[in-house]
Amino acid sequence: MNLPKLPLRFLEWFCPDDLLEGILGDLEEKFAEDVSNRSMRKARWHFRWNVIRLFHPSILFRNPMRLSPGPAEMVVRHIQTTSRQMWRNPFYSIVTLAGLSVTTAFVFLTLLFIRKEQSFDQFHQNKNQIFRVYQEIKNAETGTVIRKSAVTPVPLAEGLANSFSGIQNYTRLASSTATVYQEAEPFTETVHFADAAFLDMFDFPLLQGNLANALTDPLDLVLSPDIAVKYFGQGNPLGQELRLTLNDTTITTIVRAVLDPRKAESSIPFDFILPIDQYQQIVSKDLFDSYAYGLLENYIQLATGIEPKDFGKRLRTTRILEQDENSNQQVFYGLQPLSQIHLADEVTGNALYTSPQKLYFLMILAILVITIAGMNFIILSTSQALGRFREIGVRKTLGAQGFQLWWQLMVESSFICILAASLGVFLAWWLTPLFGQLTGSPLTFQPGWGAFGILLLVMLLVALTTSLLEARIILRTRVQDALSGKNKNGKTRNTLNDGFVVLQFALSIALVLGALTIRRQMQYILHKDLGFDKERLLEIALPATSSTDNNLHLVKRFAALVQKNKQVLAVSASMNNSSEPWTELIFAQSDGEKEKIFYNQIDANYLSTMGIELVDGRNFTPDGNNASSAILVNETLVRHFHWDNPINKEIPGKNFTGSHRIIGVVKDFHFSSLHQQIAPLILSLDLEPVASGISGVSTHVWPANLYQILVRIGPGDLEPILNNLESTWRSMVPDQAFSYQFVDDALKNKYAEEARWEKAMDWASLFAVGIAWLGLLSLMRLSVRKKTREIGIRKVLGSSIPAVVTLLTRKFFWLVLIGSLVAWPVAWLLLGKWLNTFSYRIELSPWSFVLVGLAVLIFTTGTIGFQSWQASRANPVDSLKQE
Amino acid sequence: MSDQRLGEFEEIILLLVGILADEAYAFHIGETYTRQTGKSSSIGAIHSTLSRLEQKGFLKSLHSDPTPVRGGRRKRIYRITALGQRALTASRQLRQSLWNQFPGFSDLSFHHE
Repeated sequence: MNLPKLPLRFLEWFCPDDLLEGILGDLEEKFAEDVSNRSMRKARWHFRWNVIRLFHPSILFRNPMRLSPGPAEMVVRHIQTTSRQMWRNPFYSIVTLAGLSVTTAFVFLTLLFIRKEQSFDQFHQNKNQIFRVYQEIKNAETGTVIRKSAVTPVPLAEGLANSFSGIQNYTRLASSTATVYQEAEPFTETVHFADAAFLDMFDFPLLQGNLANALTDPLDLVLSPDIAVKYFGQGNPLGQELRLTLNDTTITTIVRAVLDPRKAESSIPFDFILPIDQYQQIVSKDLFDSYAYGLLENYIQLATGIEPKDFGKRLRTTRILEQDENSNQQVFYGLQPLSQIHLADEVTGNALYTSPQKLYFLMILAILVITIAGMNFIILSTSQALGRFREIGVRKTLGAQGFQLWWQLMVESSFICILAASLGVFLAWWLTPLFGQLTGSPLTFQPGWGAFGILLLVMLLVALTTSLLEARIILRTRVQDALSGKNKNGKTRNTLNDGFVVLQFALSIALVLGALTIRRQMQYILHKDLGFDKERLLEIALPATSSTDNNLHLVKRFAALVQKNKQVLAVSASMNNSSEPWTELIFAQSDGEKEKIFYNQIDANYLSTMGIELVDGRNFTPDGNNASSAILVNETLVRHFHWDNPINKEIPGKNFTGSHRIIGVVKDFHFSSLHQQIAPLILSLDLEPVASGISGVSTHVWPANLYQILVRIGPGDLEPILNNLESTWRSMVPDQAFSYQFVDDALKNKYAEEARWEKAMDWASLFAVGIAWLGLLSLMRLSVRKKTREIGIRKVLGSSIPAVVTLLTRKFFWLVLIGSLVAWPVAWLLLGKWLNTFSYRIELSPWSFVLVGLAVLIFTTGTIGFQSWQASRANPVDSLKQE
Repeated sequence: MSDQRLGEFEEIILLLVGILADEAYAFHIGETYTRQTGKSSSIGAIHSTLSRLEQKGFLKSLHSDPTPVRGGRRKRIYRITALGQRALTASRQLRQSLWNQFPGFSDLSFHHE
């Protein structure tokens, strides 16, 4: 017979043995008939078709009365038994499933988040050849790194390309604000400046236009799709004109291309890109050509075949610019791979980044949570296995081998784990938008196979551990003990369980402590006295014109107009605002040291408007009779130079021409983040007095000028005041957008990241503690239930209810105590470390530690006390009848 | 236990098993079915129906002696069980009683003459 081989093998594989012979015979007979009636080819096709038709549940799952059932069928049986078991104990089933599935959802979302963070900047084809150049300033004597910054001088990349071979392409990337006009309506926007090579090096998807010529002409413009829609609606933006004002120059640009910035996965977010030449409208020519000023980011692309490590070494050992021989600071340049910019925080730059510590923290939290949930599952399942001694006894009597019993338990645990995991994945899908909101970055549910793989692996691991532990208990039990419902091995199992319970208590206590401490620190920061009054203080962005006098004039006119309204208490102006880092000036000293001092240009009403106290000397007078040499400094600066009497002193510096005098000292106020100590600060009416001593600047706000109007508003409605301010503004500067922010909002935004993490931490710890409690609660229930008989007997023998409750509660008291002793030192160390990242921090109080421990103790003893009280109130007759 | 109802196809197969007696194995049943009803049938369908009927307890099966035409394989011969008989009878009685209640039945037979 010439039967087709493959279908034959298939049939032999799926067909139950007892049916196979009959079926094969029939098929062969049919085949023979077909061969004689029709053709061999037709017969073979019929045969194949018939085999497929036989692949049918009624054949596959034919009730097989066999002595040795196949493994697949046993799995089905075991799952059946498991579901019955779960039906019978709805409480445990719900606790187990809920715990595991919610945990899965949490871990899954965490994985998604981490993967998303890691996917940043990975879409550029040349990502391994593109580097951001950073500078590292080192103390020549001690060799310690003073600062690493990716904000570097404008000519750097070009200079590198000229002096090193192997650089294929380079681009500079600067940013600034500009006023953009839609018809006559002005909008304040952030614009970027880049070399034409930017378009070659990076792979942002081109949506419209042509990249070949974009950014070659000074008036070329590249837009993001959002902005194209904002200014041109649905029409074609290509070739359209867009008017914008940079500083005080207005240019008419032409849109050449629309490029998708892929903001969700790129650390270089842009909306407008102009050619780098236009950056000269923002900074003067000498700054543009100078190596002394860090202003923008430089990106280089190494030619293929150039080993980044070798190049980095060459870069380190070569002096790029003349360095001051006397200086004890050395400047080195280094390369940071594009693909690592997003997840590194040791180099500060303009690009978006996420601290890798946060990812580690999340990962640790995920591992903690899954550990807790896994332990819960193990504890609950093993405890429940004891309740099934009878079933196991019967199985053993009927000849079940150790391996078979383990296999049954393994199938059971895997079934529950995988069921829970599926529920969890569904839950994760459902919760994705919410989680995205919570972490502040939109998340899409696109798990790769990797995430599923890890999940499956973890679940199988939990199932394996559980089943092995269960099997250990069960195999040690003698059949007769099992059948009579006795458990002689309770003791050995309990030490393991107790360990788990202690660990859970410890984790719960540590997490609660962590959440509380983070919360207290955030409250402290948000409510700390900053040294100035941040309430009802408004910052309005001034047009960036080149002359301080013009701006001062504008501020005065504006002040005179708006102060007709009695609700406006004071008006002032400032160079720096409350949301961005302030300008830092560098003064070279004769001994080669460099003094870095923060600087802010203000007007005479600054201190009164801000509510900053003057502690020594005098303030500027608003009438205009201020000595041109006058400067104010803060207390920290006085302390920094160890002066007893700072009035009339000069800031030391080798280039100073004696052009300034300190006329007053202001009380320290927080002008930068509370992560940092208050630094020395100079305030003056313009840069004149200190200009001669400056040897360098590190800032995004430059040149010195007044860029902000500050308005202090008195009590009462804000709405009419804002309208008043806006209409006044529009009448004075119609071509400049009225863009303002409240200082307290800006400060809140500054700590928004921390606030978000506080929230996430709150939820995560609440969640972890909840999971831990769920497990402990059911464990307590079990332990009370197991002692029902004992309670009955004790009561019959005359024990009182309180005595019984004490007996059951005592053990948990000790477990909580041990848990606390484990948690306290660990939490103390870790939290202390975290708090040290703040310069202004709360102290850890041992009392809060004791209190949290106590709260957990009360909650635990309360729960188990209540349950044992219930159990002990039952009539002993009922509980003794049980068996 | 499982479903004790009898579908139309199942009923016909059951009857065929009874008719074919010692030759009631799947292939032959299929052939006879096609011959008697004029409809085609597949071995797969016949087999799954037979095994379903066996599961319901209407049929039992035994192996015949090996035959050379089937590559020396034994046939699986089906027999109707008492339960199967009862199910057939019940089905027939139901139809009979319904036909008897059908008013047009006697007229219908006259017209045919």
